[in-house]
Amino acid sequence: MDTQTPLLEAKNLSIAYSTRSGPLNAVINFNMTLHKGDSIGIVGESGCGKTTVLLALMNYLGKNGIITSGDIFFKGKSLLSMSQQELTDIRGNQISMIYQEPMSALNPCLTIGKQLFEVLAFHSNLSPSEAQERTIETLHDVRLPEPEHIMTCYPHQISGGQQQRIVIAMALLSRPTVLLLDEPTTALDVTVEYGIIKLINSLKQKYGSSMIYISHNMGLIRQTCEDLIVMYSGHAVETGKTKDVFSKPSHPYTQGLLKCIPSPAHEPSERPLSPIKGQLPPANDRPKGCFFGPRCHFFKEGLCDNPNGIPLEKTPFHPNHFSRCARTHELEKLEQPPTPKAATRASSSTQDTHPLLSIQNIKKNYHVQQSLFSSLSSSKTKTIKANNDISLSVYKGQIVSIVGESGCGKTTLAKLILGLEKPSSGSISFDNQNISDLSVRTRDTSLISHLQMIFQNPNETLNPSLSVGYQITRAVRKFNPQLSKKDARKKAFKLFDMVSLSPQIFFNRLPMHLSGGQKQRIGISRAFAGSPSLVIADEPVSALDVSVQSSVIELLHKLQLNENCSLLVISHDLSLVRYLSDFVVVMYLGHIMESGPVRDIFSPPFNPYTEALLAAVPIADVSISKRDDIVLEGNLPSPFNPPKGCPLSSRCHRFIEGLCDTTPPPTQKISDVHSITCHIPIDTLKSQPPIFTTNPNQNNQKETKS
Amino acid sequence: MSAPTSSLTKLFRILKDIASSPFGFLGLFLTLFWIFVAIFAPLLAPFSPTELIQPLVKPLSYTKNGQLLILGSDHIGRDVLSRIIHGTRPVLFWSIFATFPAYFIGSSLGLAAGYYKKSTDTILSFIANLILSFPVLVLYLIIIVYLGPSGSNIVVAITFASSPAIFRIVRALTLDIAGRDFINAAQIRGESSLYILFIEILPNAKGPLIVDFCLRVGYTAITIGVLGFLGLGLPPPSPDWGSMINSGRPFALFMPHMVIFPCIAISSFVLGLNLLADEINHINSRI
Repeated sequence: MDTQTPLLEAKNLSIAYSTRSGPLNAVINFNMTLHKGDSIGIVGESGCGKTTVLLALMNYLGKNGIITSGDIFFKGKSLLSMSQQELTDIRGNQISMIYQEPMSALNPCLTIGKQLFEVLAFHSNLSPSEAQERTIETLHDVRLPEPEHIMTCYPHQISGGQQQRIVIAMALLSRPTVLLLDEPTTALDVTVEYGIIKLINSLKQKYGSSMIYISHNMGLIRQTCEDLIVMYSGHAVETGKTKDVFSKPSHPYTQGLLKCIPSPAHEPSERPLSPIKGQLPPANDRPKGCFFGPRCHFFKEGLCDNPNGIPLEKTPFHPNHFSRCARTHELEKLEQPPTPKAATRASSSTQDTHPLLSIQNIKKNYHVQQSLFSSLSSSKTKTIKANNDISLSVYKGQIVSIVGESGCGKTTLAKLILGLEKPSSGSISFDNQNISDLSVRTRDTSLISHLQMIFQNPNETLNPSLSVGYQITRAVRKFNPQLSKKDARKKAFKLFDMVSLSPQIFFNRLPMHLSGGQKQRIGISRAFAGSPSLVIADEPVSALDVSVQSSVIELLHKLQLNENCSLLVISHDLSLVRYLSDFVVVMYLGHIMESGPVRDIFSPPFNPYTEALLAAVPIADVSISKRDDIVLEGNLPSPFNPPKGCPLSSRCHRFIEGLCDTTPPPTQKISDVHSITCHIPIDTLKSQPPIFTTNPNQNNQKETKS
Repeated sequence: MSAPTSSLTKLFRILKDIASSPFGFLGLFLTLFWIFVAIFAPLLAPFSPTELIQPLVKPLSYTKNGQLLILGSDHIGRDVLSRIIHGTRPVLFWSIFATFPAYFIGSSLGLAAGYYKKSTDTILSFIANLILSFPVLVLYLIIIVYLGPSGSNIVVAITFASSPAIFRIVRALTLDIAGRDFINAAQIRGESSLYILFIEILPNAKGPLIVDFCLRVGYTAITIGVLGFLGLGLPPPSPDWGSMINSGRPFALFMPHMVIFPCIAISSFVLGLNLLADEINHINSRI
């Protein structure tokens, strides 16, 4: 392998973007060597330069991207000296890229078949029949059912997961030698993501392509790549074999990242999160020496702030394992940062007899008009059952999570509770008051201030044209009308302090001057402006970077304890759910599939859907091994036309023909609090092995095999 | 990131930003030039706009009394330059003044339609489309002929004809903004609809609206010119550019300066606004 010329090689690559305020160094001194059959993962948070590297590898940086030094070699030839024609021959033909958003990677005006043929027409001289043959073969390889039919469809007619498979097929059509993947599964649901990851792994073997895989998710990289590059602020801070890096992370940043991820296999008290303090430095204002210095626990003056920079050095663990840390060799002996105590919550609080929020048999149907003509004839509307017979209770001081993939009706449920929508039937009572027919307009101030919400998208949660201070003060005054202007301002200052943002600095800023994590903190402080007794958090951290996520999770935890309020967390992230919640409700297509205390949900017996969700969680921790025999095939059924019997029957791996597809499943009680909706007898479900097993010696066979 | 600054320095920074591109500079220059001329018209004009000096003097030539007429005089002997300079006042005043009520009505209804959707939207959109389906000129003619030519009636006509277009822009922007989380947050904390419409939504639509405003002031200037040309503009003594073109029309072949200079005035003003709008749009999309 070492005598062979590498397929793709980046040597001392530095890239800058020219902006109005001068050049910004996006990538500094980046080295990478990709041999045939290799798979390299690049991991890092947003803004660390990973996508820039990927684009540079095709010499496709765009107008304002400049390669300031270094070179890129493809099969020994410099990409930078190639003509436009040579580059065009390589791009898409020898190097293919798979993008993050499948919907924007496909042209909505052309059929899928046409778009696939275009690739071959441009890059190969196959005859039409050969092209057809190869296209169908490739579609089979990406496991799309009925390729001939799919080729006649337009992109909007197929699901997100199928679209991503098409994009992968498109990249594979010309049989590239190098495959570049830019967060290919980030826009997808967990179970779909898991299917795509398995697909990528099997294709890697079949086609023997080398690949470079970019992700912010360490668990995904662990599942797909043999080599790993961890990037931080334009630098590669740690490189090596994936399993070496994960088992012996040598850079404080990598260590910090791994400690930021909640583990779905552990009790929160066993694995408390320790967030990385601070935030990524802006590209035009990086610290001297080690870029991670100001955030690092091991920072040592005079050593880590060396103005000449810190070189990438060999670690003592493995000859191919490098780390850009001035204290690599002494790091192990140094005292680890104190792990914060996991917030311990009195579990007795769940013993309250009266639930704070009680939802009984809620149903919500949406009527959708099919076309202009059907709207005129008025009777022919289709119905989407967004929520179907949902019952759940939240007690005072409890954290309840609702888990499910997109389209399962979790957000609808939140809207019903908040009074933004009215349920079609059933009742919601809050603090012994029936609120199901009270829309938010007719609710009184005290009810409104007791029921608040935290939103998912930090960029949308705040009004971009009003200062954050104004927005918080407005909420304070709305919830406490008796407060004077001055007192409201004081209270707003307190709220800023509560979410650890200095009001002196942030009060008058517009949201655009805040980072994502800071915006999310402001959004959280707004929800707590009226001392709420129940806060609904809709995917509170899913749009944030890993290192920021954990600090926001900790903040939520802390606030919930201090304010003694209940939290209803809506999430698709099971690791987060395990870490945060007392009680979990698993939803699929508007139905509750399983509900119970968090410990019961994460151990057998499982509802098959829970089982599949758990199996799909990517795990970065090498001490955990996971069953990998469960994949949910297929797509979420159309909400217009859900399966007749069990909602999961079209995708279930434990499907029983003649039963599951005809009869709705019964809800079986395992204990007072734990129930599973499934046809399969409890005893059979109980006999399933757990999904996660922890190996204390960290050497697990599956790991070395893959 | 920079700390928030006072609105005056912010305005100055935006103007500097606009002027940093050549087209933006030209747009800003032309617009400010005409505003300057309008403000200082009596000081800048060499003659009174109604003074009869000597008919049909060519540009850059002297009258019998030895007065230099830079842009010549018209058929009854009034100085063209002075008339153009004085003409900026009514044109600028009415084109800006007539755009405001159109904006007020168009954006209020647009906000309502985009926010409440359903039947409010259906009805308002239908009315807007109805008005938009009329040829604009015919609409103006009908209104002005019916109400009589005067400044305030031009405002009525422009408001009636422009607000549907503004309505549609605001409605589309509102539909987008109303779906964002901060609007949900405002609803959840029990804000009134008026507050949500005017404090939460409208400021976020300001970028495209400022651009459209610049363009629309230009169009209104053209409209006033057209109405003046048709003899339906501002009443005779006031020297508006459109009626100058109209009165010069019979002489256009042998005395073209009577027509050309007012035309240049109109088009440079509109061009300036268009370039300015373009550049603001650029800056908006960069942020």
